[in-house]
Amino acid sequence: MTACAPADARARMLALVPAGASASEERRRFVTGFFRRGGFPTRKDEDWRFSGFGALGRIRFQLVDAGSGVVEPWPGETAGEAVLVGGVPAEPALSPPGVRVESFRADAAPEDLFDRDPDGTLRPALPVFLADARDRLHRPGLDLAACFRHPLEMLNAGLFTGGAAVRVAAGVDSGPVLLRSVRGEDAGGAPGMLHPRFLVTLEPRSRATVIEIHEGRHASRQGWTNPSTVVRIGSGARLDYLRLSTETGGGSHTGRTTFHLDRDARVKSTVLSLGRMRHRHDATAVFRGEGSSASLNGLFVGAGRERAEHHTLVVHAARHATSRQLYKAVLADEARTVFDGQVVVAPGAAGSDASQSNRNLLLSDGARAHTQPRLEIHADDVKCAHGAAIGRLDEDALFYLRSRGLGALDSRDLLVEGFAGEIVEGVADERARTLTAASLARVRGRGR
Amino acid sequence: MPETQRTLGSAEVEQLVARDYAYGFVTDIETEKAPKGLSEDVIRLISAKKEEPEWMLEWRLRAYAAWQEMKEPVWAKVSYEPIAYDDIYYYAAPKSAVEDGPKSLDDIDPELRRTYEKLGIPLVEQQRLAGVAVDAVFDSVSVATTFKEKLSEMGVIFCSFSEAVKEHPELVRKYLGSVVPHSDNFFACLNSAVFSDGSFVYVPKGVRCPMELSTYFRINASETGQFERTLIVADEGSYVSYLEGCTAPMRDENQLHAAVVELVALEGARIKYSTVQNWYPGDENGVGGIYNFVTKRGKCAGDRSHISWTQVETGSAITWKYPSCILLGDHSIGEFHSIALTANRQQADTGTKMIHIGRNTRSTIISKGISAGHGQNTYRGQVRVLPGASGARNFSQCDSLLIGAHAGAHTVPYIDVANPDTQLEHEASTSRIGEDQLFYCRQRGLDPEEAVSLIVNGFARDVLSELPMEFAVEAQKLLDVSLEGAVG
Repeated sequence: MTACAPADARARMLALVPAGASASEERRRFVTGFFRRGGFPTRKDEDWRFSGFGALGRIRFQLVDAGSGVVEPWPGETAGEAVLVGGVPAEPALSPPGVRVESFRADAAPEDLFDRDPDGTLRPALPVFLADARDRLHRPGLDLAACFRHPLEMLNAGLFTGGAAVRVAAGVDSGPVLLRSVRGEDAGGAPGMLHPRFLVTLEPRSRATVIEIHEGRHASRQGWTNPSTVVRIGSGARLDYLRLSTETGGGSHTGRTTFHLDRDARVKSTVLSLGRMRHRHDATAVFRGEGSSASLNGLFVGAGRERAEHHTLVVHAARHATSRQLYKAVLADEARTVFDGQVVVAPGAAGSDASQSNRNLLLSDGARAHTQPRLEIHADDVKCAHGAAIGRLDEDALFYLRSRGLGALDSRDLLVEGFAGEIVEGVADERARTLTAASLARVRGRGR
Repeated sequence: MPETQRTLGSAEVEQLVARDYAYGFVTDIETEKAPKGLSEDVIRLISAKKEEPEWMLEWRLRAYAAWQEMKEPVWAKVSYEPIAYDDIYYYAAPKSAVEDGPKSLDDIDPELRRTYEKLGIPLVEQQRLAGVAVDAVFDSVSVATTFKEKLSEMGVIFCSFSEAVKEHPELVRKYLGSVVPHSDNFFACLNSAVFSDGSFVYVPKGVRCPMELSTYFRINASETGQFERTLIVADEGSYVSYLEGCTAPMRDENQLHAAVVELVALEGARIKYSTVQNWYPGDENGVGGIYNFVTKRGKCAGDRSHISWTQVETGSAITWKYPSCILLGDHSIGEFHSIALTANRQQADTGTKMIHIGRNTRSTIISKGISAGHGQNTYRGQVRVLPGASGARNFSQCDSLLIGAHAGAHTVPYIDVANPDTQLEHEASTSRIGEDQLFYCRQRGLDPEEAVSLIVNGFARDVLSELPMEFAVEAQKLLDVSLEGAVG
């Protein structure tokens, strides 16, 4: 690893912000802000206590290249598609009727890629409503703005070289839209980093299925992918969101998806972390309209020394919103998982209904699971519950299956499949299901 | 301290104030104090006053050195004015007690006796009433210990900490700091440096302690931090139940309390530790009240040992307290039952840690948080299963009840598992008192306050039932008193 001092890291990162591009001055400010806040988070930061990413600060990254840019087509039926290789558009985007799908380079990024404060300042992924609602929501002990201080989001906003945007017109049903980001190649042998940026907008009463895919191979274990997706769901609109990361090569993947929901908007999100990586995904849902609802789900299947962290933050900032969370992990060998879920019910958010559940299956002695389901509640007319369970396969269930004539191995596989099935069943995409099945096959026979 | 008598408004106003503190009064006794602030000299003075051996002083000084390197923790979800550690008296003793210790109850300062009577400790009656021995702690020095002889017949040692240092140095030396080391955390470290007194219990092998042991804590002299240290050792196969209850006089300045409790359960031993904490919580605007930063930890050192914590926390402006169990012995059991009530502007950040190290260890966590008014109540707990802890089982249940739109209830469990042969469940729920429940009660003729009290007591029943009889009654009454005025 080539080491370099923090000041050096900052200068290098700043140099990578595309000069002359739109808002490049503001984007430099994000990078500066990132370093001013302490740079790469370490284990000493509460939200990063199991796996800090401080070591990234010592790597001399270069942005990845598009490379040869050969991308295999995604099997199955798709209505729209945008493909990025090495963070920049690889082929023209495909838009179904009533839907605008575009891929862009940083200098031609859409106007609404960022939120702006009333004074015109750009904000990465910080909801617009927050600026005016902050005072209303602020009570001692509730620092809502702090919830959004995700340091790596700042770097993405500063350094992205390209991305893709989807806009579904009011009342339109989009069908499946694919957003694919392929890793690309490391430039000049230096460890590569990739910061793709996605924006999904659903106008009122529209419906969409969006599948976000991160694929490709990291050339070295120092590789890093740091994608960011912001989703705005208009009133009465419905989104089915699937996020699939299948990157390999043992580098780091730190992704975020942030949903902003208007009145009666609904989202169902499924995050499948199947890559052979050091993985972290932060899912955030902010209810800004009454009656909105979100269902956040996730699955990690890990073997070897892989690890995945799923962090969630659900902010009930409007009344009568409903949130459901279900995250699961199947762990073999020395795989590790972290679930850190947080539900915040803001003052006045009456009728909030939140539940949160985390289940982890440990298949071997070296596997580790850490769970932290947090509730922070500042209103009294609420229904909140959370649950967590960590354990190995149920002996009774195994016995039952064996007594019905199934072999030991088959019984275990069946139980593991059933465990993962609760997440995967709702996924329509054929390829995603195949990939999950393949991941499960890797841990086959590891159950004790 | 007549100057710290609280200033009363008109009687009418006083009656309207939502939640009066029933135990607010200040006893006027001359107090012997060390100078304000903390330094090696103050520690030497404390140690000299208590005629401690050299090793005890060294231990204190080591703790002080470690404390100076530490920063006050800020991770708890409580906010309070910074504490001026230099503006606190670290030692105070009722003079009359120091000069010549009481030979019998009659020797006790009558003023002190009256204080206890107001508190409802039937000290005089203690010897006649069956079952409870009291090691009453009044401003840091034990002034009366009853039933000592009866206990000593069975070989049970129950005395003040300073007495134990003198008379049983081998036991104290062996176990002091074995569960909460002198450098454990900021507040425990401070306590280790300046602790003034506390209780010491040793139950010998195979002995079932014939009565419930009890200490009343009492903060009295103004601006005196109270630094209690309790050490309970249950030798192989023994059993002891220990009760701790406390109340403090009403006053305006915040008082710091940083206690340490260490429990050691050897093979097959069982310790049951119950607390009712009812210190002055501050007034309805959050002025005054005790800062309660307590480190409580038990070590199930031997196989099949069992430690159970039960706490009812209704007092204190700030509570920072995590009674924990280190489950070292195979088949050992840890339990935590808690009710934490925050009303007005009270803030509590409390919970437990269950560290599973031995095989087939089991732990149960039942936490009931009740928030009313502007109270903020946080459950913060950790269940940790180490790689060697095969067969570990944990069940956690953390329920919160919200009363009023400004109350806050937060749950922060940490669950870290490093052994697959583990069964672990965590459940939590948060809700407010159901309208239908209230309606039902009111329809049966209860007024709203009675109805809420009934529902709250039902909510807390799982924990209340864990308390020894006399405590259960007091705790139930406390919940009612604490919620007065919070409803409506």
